Amino acid sequence: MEMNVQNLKKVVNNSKLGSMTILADLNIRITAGEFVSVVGPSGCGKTTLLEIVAGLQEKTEGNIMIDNIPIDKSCANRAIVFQQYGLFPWLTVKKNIEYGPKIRGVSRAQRRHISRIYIEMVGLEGFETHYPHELSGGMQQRVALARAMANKPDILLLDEPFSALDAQTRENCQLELLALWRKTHVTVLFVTHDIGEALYLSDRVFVMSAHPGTIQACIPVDLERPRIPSVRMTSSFYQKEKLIRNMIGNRNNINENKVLA
Amino acid sequence: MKTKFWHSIVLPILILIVWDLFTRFSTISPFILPDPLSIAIKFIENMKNGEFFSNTMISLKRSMGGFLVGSFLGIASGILIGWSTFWEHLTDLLINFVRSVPKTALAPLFIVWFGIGDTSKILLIAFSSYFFTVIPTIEGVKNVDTILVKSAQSMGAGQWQIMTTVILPASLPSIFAGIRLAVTTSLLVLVMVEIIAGNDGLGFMLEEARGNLNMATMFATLLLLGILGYALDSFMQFMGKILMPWRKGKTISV
Ligand SMILES: Nc1ncnc2c1ncn2[C@@H]1O[C@H](COP(=O)(O)OP(=O)(O)O)[C@@H](O)[C@H]1O
Ligand SMILES: [Mg+2]
Repeated sequence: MEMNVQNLKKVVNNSKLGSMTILADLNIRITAGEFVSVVGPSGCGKTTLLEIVAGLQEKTEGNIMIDNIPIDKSCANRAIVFQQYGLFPWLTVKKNIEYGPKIRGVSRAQRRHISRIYIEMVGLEGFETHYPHELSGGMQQRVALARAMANKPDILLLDEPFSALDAQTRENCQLELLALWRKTHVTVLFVTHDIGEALYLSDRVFVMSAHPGTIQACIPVDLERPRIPSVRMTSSFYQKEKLIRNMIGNRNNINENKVLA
Repeated sequence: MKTKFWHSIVLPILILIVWDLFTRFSTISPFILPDPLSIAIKFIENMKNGEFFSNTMISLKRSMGGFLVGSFLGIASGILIGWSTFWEHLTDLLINFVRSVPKTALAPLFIVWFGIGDTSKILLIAFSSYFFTVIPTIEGVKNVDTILVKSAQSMGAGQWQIMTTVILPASLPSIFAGIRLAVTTSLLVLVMVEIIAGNDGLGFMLEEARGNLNMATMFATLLLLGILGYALDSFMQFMGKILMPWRKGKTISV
């Protein structure tokens, strides 16, 4: 599914600080089946953007269209995965994955079918009846991915999903996500503050700047797929990483750069 | 498990032995402290003649009745108050003021208002159970991780579904801690009220035994109360494991 975010604006009214513009003039266009990342320093409004797209927060101005149809709250065609997993501790792996279909009234047999597919897709066979707290962080995040995908979303939204994981687990989860994307052809909007991660995963990387949060640049990533971890060592990868780092640095660390110069 | 059991009964057995020796070899009157054996005999006697059974049933009916009414209202209103800031602000001061009044101190008032029959006892227990459940429920609901609510919302859950499939299970450990306190306390409050007003029930048995200087019956009744309280709490612990299997291994302390 194609998604189009047009002139998005978000203003919050805080009783202490008064009104604050978090996002302004934000435009993102994603074509169907594309894997797109948004990188930006923490506090620039990435979570806000994602939650607005997910329908969890109200926008102040602008349009969000999926296949040229403005979205409203009621459609559940956008699934979101959070950094803190957000799994229900009282449900087993299987029941967590079946949660979305269940509240939409999908039959028991059909639910079982769905959970089996996604448990297999994220490689968690044998852990169906485990509770989240019995799993490692990487496994929990895979359950969260499977749970999101079990809703058959048109667009998958991920908010720094691997930031809490150690380097090795993160790398495995990244590969897992790419495999999942290849199998399902879902459109992905991936938010991270890790520039290398964004480049490694995406077709295009949107660079965000803060105060107010807006898109500063869009960097196409023309590395061939399927990607393997060693692609990070190539000079074209390094060039792009440096480019983005400078963009973010120039906007946000001007004073620091002056000191260094 | 086995070794733990033997370990834990060492102290009670030691106390019984010292108690027995003390009543045997000191000049203490059995009207002050009867020996363990005559208490045990009295206990069996009261079990056989149905005295314990009928009074236990009377007391349990009162305490469970009050507990059920009070905790139901406590949980229901606690969810409402925890969920909506409007209700929270409206009730905050009142709840925190009334909770600070010792519930047993209201016994004389309730007796004046509702007589010495079952009504005053059940209402007092309901009142105390209400406060033991409403506050943990409010806390539990307020502390539900927002990420869980957002996850459910993003999968299309409506307000009512969020309430029943997220808020309720997420706050269950906290609610259940309140329920456990309410159950144990309901027996406690009841016995006290039966002592001051009443003509049946386990509390009354204690008071009657005092009047008749029947110390063996008094101690036998205390023993029964201990067993009842212990059984009730074990039952609640068991229910906790059934209701919250995901918390297996995590002890729910009250
Ligand atoms: N309800 C709110 N009231 C006031 N400030 C907010 C509110 N929500 C978010 N913010 C502020 O908006 C900015 C962007 O937040 P967020 O979207 O979480 O950024 P990111 O995910 O990029 O770290 C932050 O500075 C945050 O403090
Ligand atoms: Mg964030």
